[in-house]
Amino acid sequence: MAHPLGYTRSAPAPGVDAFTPEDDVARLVRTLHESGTLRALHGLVAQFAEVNAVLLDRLNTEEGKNGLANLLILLRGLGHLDADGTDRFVKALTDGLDAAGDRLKNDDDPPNLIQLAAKLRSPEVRRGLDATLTLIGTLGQRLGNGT
Amino acid sequence: MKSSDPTAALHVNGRMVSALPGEPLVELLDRLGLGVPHVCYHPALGPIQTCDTCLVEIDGELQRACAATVRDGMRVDISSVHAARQEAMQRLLGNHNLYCTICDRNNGDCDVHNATEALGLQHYTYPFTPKPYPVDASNPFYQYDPDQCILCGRCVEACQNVQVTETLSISWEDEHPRVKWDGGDQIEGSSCVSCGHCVTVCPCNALMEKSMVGQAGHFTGLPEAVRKPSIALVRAAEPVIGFDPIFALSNAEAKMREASVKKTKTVCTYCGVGCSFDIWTHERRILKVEPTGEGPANGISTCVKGKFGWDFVNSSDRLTTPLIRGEAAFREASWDEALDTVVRQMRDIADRHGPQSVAFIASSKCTNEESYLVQKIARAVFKTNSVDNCSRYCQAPATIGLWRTVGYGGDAGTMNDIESADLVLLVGTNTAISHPVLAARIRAAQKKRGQQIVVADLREHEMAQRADLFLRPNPGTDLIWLSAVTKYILDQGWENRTFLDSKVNHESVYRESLAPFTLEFAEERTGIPVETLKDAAKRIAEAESVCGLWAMGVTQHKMGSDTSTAISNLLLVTGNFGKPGTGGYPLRGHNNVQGCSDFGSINTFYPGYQKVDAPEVRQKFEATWGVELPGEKGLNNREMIDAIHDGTLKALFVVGEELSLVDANIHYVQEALTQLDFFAVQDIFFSTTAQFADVVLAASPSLEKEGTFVNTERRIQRLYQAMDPLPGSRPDWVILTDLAKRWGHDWGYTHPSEIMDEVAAVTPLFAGVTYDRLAGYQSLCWPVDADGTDTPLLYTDEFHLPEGKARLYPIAWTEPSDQPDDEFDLHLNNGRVLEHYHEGNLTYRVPGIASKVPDTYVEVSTDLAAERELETGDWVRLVSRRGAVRVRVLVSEQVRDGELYMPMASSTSPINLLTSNVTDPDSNTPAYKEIAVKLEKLGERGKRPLPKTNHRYGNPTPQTGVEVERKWARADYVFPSQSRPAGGHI
Repeated sequence: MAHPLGYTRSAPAPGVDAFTPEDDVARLVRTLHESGTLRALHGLVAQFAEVNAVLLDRLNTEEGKNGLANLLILLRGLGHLDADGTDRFVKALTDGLDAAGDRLKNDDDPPNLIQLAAKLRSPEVRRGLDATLTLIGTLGQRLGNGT
Repeated sequence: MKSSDPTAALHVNGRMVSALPGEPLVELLDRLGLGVPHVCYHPALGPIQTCDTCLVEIDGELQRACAATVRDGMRVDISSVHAARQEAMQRLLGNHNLYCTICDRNNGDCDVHNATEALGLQHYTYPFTPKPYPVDASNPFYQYDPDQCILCGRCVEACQNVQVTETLSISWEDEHPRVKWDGGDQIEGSSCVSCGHCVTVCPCNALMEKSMVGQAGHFTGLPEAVRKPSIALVRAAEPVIGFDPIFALSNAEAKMREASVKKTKTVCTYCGVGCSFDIWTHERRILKVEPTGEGPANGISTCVKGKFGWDFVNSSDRLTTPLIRGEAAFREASWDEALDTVVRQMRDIADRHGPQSVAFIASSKCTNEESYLVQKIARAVFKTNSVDNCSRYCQAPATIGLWRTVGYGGDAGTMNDIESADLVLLVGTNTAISHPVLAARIRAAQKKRGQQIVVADLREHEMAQRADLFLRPNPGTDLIWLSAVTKYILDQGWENRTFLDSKVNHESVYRESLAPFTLEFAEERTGIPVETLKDAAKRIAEAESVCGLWAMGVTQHKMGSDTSTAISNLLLVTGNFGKPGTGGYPLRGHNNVQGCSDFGSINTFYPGYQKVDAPEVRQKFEATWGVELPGEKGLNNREMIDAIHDGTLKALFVVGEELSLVDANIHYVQEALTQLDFFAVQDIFFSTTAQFADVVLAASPSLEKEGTFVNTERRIQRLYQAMDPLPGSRPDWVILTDLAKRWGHDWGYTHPSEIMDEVAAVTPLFAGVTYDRLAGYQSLCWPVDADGTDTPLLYTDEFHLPEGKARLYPIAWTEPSDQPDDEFDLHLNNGRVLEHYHEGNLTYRVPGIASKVPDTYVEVSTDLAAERELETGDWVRLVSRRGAVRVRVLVSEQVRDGELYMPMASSTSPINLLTSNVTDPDSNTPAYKEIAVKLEKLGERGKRPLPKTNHRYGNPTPQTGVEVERKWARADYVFPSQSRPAGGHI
């Protein structure tokens, strides 16, 4: 006679946790292996000192040091700029460069002085000149101050 | 396009193109790759016309390509209206916040993302404005975020015209329109049945499965404190950097997801409709079920169980080790010890008591290949034909009815035929509950093209409420009204004479057998008025094509086979076999109840219904399997239980079958199980049946293995492995192969496809079945010729009987068993509920489903409740002549006085404590539907057994569809050739 019996399980079934962090690591390692990334990393680690030396050798030049310093200053400066203003300025500069490029490509005769002077009647030209002169003036002032 | 198809020649961007006349223009443009993105158009839904993104110029006029169809000579210009398409898309974006990289929908399939990108948009023209509505997460399975909703109306169209629950609508007249449920703001408490159609078709993340939220992406699980600033940061950058870098990032992230999100085609493991879809998983986590539209049975459709009912796979009480009976409890055992115990014990018993002392029961939840292995072990290893499956409990009478009359024991056609029929006759089937996706197709056919529905049932359930004609017979009298209607048709001369003369035999003897079934007799016994019977006869006779559908309301009676035969007779008399839109359709219950018998787990047949007592068949299998085989018929399920009581059956091996709850009169069944010398159970859970076992083997469900199922249409479909078996469990076919090897039969299967190849070689019905021909969403409806030609519609040339003609089969009516009397004064009907499946072993392990329907109950009519002073929630005891159950009352409009209804989904109050040992003599199927009970009030009141938020208490809002004209009538809507008026919202 086999009467019904119960069963007290030793642990709950893992469900979604059956896939463990260790499984995830194993899969990552497999992918890294198959993609060649592990080989590259191994090369880097095994030859770390030599690779380091090559990189430092390249970086430890006048150009390298200046480049690094300029990059850092540029990043610091960009952080202070108002995004909208920069956006407008960069866009204006891009359009201006495009228009200037078009003029340079133009096969017409170069404008004479009267024609150039006539352009000053255009408010857009005057606004552009004003902005450019302001930029130059400010640069001169700051550079003169040594700031 | 075939070369014989008519073609239309049209100009698209000045280029001459050939296409099928009537094809949606938007699909042609897609095919040509001309870059006309669209958002609201979905092939399964047709033109909705809400998004305006597919505008093109047709013969000089701006039109929506989704609403235009190809015609000869049309001139289509795409390039001239790019700006209008961009304007339309900008309006959608005004209602949608693009934070793609941290969106769970960022899987490469977001139509809003893709259309924005394809149209080359860089910035918002109409800044995104949040709507004044919160996210609705009231439903356990999915959520609605109004802020992300672009008001395309796909969800509404799917709900109104595909699922036809008619719950969803859009409040076009509101200042800020949104999707509504029953016209209100909250999903829960509405008529929503959680079928998931709306979520499946949503083009973005407005409607989303909760299982996806925070799980699908690498950055989507961010805490809200990080998520919100992240979205704000992207919004701040967008005016400067434009959409391109944002999309570049999200596209890259979507690519990364492909490494961890797996999409696997599978077939639903619940009912016999056979829905197929992709299941998205991240390792063992189920992210969502995604019907792709390719499923031959379901297209984009699902029901609540198929879409959301998969949590059982990761249930904490899954078996993860074999168990062996100890003194006071089961103990965990190694696979070797458990398998060796099974092998030793069953072999010893067979050696001592002969081959008839062991028997096997296969599972209709398992695959065809696993069914084949169970019967092969029974026959080739143990030399017994005592192998059966649960079709004995439900579908065997329908099969017998079809064998008698037309030849094949399966549906005559496919669901396409049912959908295209002029009239569908539903007898004893609550299709909306038991085969929900099929019911949706019927409702859609009724709504869209006026298909007639005639329903015969004890209860006024949903399909009855929608019926054009509802017949409500007294319990157990279907055979009478069916025969009376058939007789009346013949008496009126309304039969299909040509069909009868050319394709049907035995008409005269059948006519004679109908003599007792006058309309007056039918009215007296069934309670259906004569005029209603005449109406039914006229409708059936006049319809161009009729499909007859039936289920357990017919089969689970003492005369189940005869009533099934009566349905087939009626269809034959009216000529409704062998042409599209006709035929008899016994709606198979389990996902693979058809296949389990088809592949040989039945006591009288080898695979493909090759008779076990036919010498030439036996010799063929002996040659293939290299063994001697038994010639005598084996025991069926019910006979096995009797044989245990008789002491002749000593050992039983059961695969995935909860027979101690679902077989009739479980007092008798459970007592039998205690008397076995050895009992092995293979299951994914420690089931009630497993409690009686000596050894329990831990099996794997469908998502953890490969194989095939056969649905109710005789359609064979492949399922693929979505995840590894839960550690400690094994796929059934692996366990069975291992057992056979330990019994000395090393069959060497390494993949289920090898089993199918073997089946095909010895089974004419499946001669052309191969895994290659079933790849992906391909399917085959048996019989399948060796060249792979399958047979979706049977009997187009001849019937599958020796003379090639159908047979009208004379039948007589017998009184049902267990009739009410003075003491047991009520008839107890029983069956399913939408949310649960069968006894609920799977669905009660889905928390969302369990919250929707926490327990079984008994439905009591309003009048009976008043008479007995009962209210919803009252505890009562139902007492039959066999036993009693304790359940709560649900006062219901669906049952009538003198009748009760109790869902079978319960292991604590199983209906089969009340059922009897009476069976249909032709099939041995128990008369589950014949129970007389008395109802005893217990004087205790509990909670409502069915929460008020259940869909039954909702108030649907039927509409023709999304009703886009109401959008166009808004003051802030202008055609996208112009800009949106200031202050507009759509």
